[in-house]
Amino acid sequence: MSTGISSWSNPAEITAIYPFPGTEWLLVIAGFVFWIWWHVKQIRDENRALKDAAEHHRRYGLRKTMEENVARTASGEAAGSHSSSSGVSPVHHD
Amino acid sequence: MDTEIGAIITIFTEFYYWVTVVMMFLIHAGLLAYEVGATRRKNISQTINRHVMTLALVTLTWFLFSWWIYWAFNAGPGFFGPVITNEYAMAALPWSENMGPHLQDNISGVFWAAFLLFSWTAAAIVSGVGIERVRTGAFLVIGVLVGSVTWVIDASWGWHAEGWMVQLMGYHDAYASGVIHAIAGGACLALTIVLGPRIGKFDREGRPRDIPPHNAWMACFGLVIIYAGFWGFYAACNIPIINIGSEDELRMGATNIYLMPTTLSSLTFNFLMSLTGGLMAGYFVSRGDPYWTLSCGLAGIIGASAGNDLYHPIQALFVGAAIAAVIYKMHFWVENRFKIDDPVGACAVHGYAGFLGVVIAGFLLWGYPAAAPIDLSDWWVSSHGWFGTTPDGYPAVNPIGNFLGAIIMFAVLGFLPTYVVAKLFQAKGLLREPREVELAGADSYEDLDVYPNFAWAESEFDKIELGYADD
Repeated sequence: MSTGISSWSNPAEITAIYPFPGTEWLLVIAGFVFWIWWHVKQIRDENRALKDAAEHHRRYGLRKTMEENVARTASGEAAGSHSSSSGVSPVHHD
Repeated sequence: MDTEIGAIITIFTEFYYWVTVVMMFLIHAGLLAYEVGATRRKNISQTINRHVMTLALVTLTWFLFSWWIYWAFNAGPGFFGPVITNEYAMAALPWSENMGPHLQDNISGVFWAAFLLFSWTAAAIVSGVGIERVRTGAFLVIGVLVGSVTWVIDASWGWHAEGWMVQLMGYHDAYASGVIHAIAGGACLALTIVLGPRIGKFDREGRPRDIPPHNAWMACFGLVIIYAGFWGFYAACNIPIINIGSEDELRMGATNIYLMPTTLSSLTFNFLMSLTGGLMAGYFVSRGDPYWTLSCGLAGIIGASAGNDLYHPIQALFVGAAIAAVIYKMHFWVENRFKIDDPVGACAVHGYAGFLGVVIAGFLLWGYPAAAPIDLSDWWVSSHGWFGTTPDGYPAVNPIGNFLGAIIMFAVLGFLPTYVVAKLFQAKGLLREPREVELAGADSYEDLDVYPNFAWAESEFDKIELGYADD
């Protein structure tokens, strides 16, 4: 069995050297689907993360968050008023 | 590769373009440093993610459809020409065997990558204007629009020896003042208009406030790295070795992207002299501000790029200097007059400089052959060189063709599509971050601070911005 090339003995006659030649159409369709899916998922995840962040800042106090950011970074700590892993990152961690 | 010389030329050309691709990566290292340096600390991780993911998405879409667009849309005018179906266009279709490892095709992937790196540049330029307020999702769609659709249409029209803008209008833009920088600059202007300024950028009387970069040194360093990557870009715009003589009398030499003769020496002289002109002018107009001095150096190269294959080095120097001085003034005039917040000066450095560079090249290179005429029998129009031809019958470079070309680049393919798409996102509430997130910083909700162990000083603007928290 071979997924593509089984001999390099006649390079002048060899064309495509990737496995499964003839499936290019399928691969291109899969590429398109992956591209569109990625955009949709990224936008959904980001919307949810931004909504959560805005709600947190309103609840916690925007001024307080901003002041703490400055104070924490001035003292050498990491900035941020929220320590969970779900945030404004484009990839939402549930 | 049927002769020894043919084999050496093919292998040399393949390796030459491959090296340009590696060099052009430096543009993106530089752009990232520049953009991150200009961003305030609270948004850095978001800026990095947005920039890098733009490159990833442009790469995928460049494979799926953009490379084919470059080869298929040469005929015109506009979209009124037939779709090209020659061997190059067919080989660029994503399902073609040439779009993969192929023992009889050494070069397709290398050409594809060289043009991809141009596309990265076009899309990444736009990334800077949206910092600290644009949503990543909206920007990524706009990045794909600019990097994988609009710029490649203009490249097919005006950056290809058989493009209709070259054949009919005599358009000349050797190192992409218009086809990359003006179009990206037009898109920047559209995005920043629709987005609006960052909260607090303008006071109640409409006077702009300075929002200092979090790290001016990093931004300056990024600009110098961009210069380094720009060498690769310039090299990739040339055919390094080809017969520029006749079939009977072989004469090997380099050509520009329109297959018209130039030399690698020309681009070397003029790249450095236009950079010098931009830096020297920038130093004075900005009163020694290093960020703007270096940006003006970049604007000097971008402005002279349209004709840097043919200018005298002193001409390149003065074109670079004049354009750098003008765009610096324009940036602040536009900011004051129209309340446009362009945090990295991209509209000016890329858009205005690219536009002016194309216009100036039309005058300075007036009458030069733009490209060898091709058979137009299946086009909607049949006459080459609407605004003049050379004695040999070649379409001639001219001021009208380049002026119209600059408008097509900046306004028609640069500004308009991005404006429309940004408006659509805005209508759905998906363009700009919520106010709370913008003020607190996109990185502040999650522990994304890239400088956990460094102190920073509160700037004057941070105090002003704090006042908006209670509004």
